[in-house]
Amino acid sequence: MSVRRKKILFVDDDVDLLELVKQLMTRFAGDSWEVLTASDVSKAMVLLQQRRIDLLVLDIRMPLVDGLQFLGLLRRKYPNMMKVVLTGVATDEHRAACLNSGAELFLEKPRDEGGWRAVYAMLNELAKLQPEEGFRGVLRRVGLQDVLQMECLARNSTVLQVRAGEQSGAIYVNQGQIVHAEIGGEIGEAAFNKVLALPGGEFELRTWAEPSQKTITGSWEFLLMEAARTRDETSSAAPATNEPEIPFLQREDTALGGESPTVVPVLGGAAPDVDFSDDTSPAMGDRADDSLRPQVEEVLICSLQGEVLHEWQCPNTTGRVSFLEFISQKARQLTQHLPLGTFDRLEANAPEGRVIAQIQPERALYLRVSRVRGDADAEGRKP
Amino acid sequence: MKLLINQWFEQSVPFEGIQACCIRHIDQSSVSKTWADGFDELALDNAMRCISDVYQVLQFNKIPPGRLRWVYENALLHCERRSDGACLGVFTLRDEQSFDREGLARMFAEFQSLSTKVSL
Repeated sequence: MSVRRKKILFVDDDVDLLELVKQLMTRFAGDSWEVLTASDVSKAMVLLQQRRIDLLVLDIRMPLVDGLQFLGLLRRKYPNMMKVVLTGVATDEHRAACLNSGAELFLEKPRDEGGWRAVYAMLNELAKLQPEEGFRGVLRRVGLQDVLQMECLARNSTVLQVRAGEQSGAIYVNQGQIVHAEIGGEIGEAAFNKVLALPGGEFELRTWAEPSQKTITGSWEFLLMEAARTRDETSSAAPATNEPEIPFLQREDTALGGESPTVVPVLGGAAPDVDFSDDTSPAMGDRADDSLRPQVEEVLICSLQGEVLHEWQCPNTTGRVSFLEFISQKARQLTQHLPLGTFDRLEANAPEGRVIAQIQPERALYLRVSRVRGDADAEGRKP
Repeated sequence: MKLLINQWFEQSVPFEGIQACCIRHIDQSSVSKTWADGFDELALDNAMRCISDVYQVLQFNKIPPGRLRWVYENALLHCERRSDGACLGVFTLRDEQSFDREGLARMFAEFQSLSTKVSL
């Protein structure tokens, strides 16, 4: 019986290093790995389109496209693919940022063959793990928009050829600027929007060729934003889907002096218990002080595909979704070979309050609760 | 400090409902003890490696890193990190009533106060 060779993709702008890595890893792994390399993000994206990659190893310090941005994109589009950062700059700050963005491992580039052998051993162990259904358990295909964005960020010159059924179109990117689009008889921005709105089909990146004319002058950021807005408008006009309803309760917020009513979400059945009385942690401060009561400061609920379903006073929704993804990933890793059962939630308790990250089969919740003086006590403290 | 922490860990007395515990030091070495089936040394070391990552990411997200409690279907994992980076993880039974909460609190208090004992 033949065993499928693991496909390991290394992404680094240092071509000499890639060559060395390919030689070493092929020697260490023998027939068990197929080692692929890409010297920039665009080339990596094309390979990801064409092949089923088991493990991607990337440098985070690459010119033009930030490795962290790339990690974020990979997590969205290839949730079950394992990602490892291999860098020459192994600071704690970089490490935390990479883990937070979905990297399974953060490794320092070795300086000798023994070091590379150790890296191989770690990657090989990781590659053996079966991908699990996790936070973003639903695999989503990489979109034309994502590839286009990466091409623009990388300031590449390329032609995106798109085909969907009988229709065929092209988008021309010159040094990171979208300069022309055509589909059928249409050209310019209308054609650009039409190409991006194609419901399916396939696309490929072709070598740059000068278009017959230049019909687009706007910034690519604006163009992509407009295209997304158009798509959203189209989808919102469609019949409503089964969105969860989140009831609201109005109450007087004493912390704000009771000047204006504050709308606080009530998470019927979704939120875990936030009773502070069960805590035995010294980090929670004086337990005897029963006058302290929990007050919800921030709520975010998202689907397991990372779509925000509801947020309340959340200063950084993207960051919170990333955090929930990270906790989901770690909760699964943590339970490996331990008889813990299904993960429900993480509670982080500190003197300031409590943060709860709950991962349920259908959605994830981020809840931040602070401890404030109770109403009676607050009244008594008024001058 | 690592030696002192390990000595304390060796001598620490189990409390009712504890299933396993593990310490991971800043140098990535770890020590563990188990009282229940299924909690082997390698798996506990892997769990504590995850916990170390989590503390780093909590800091990155500006979430105060105090006591962590991981709630699973069959068990709870309670964790604390000392200022010198050493992490203690304690696995207990899932039900709040089925483990000695005072024993757990005592264990964490001792773990956190070890440096004070040295300075005295």
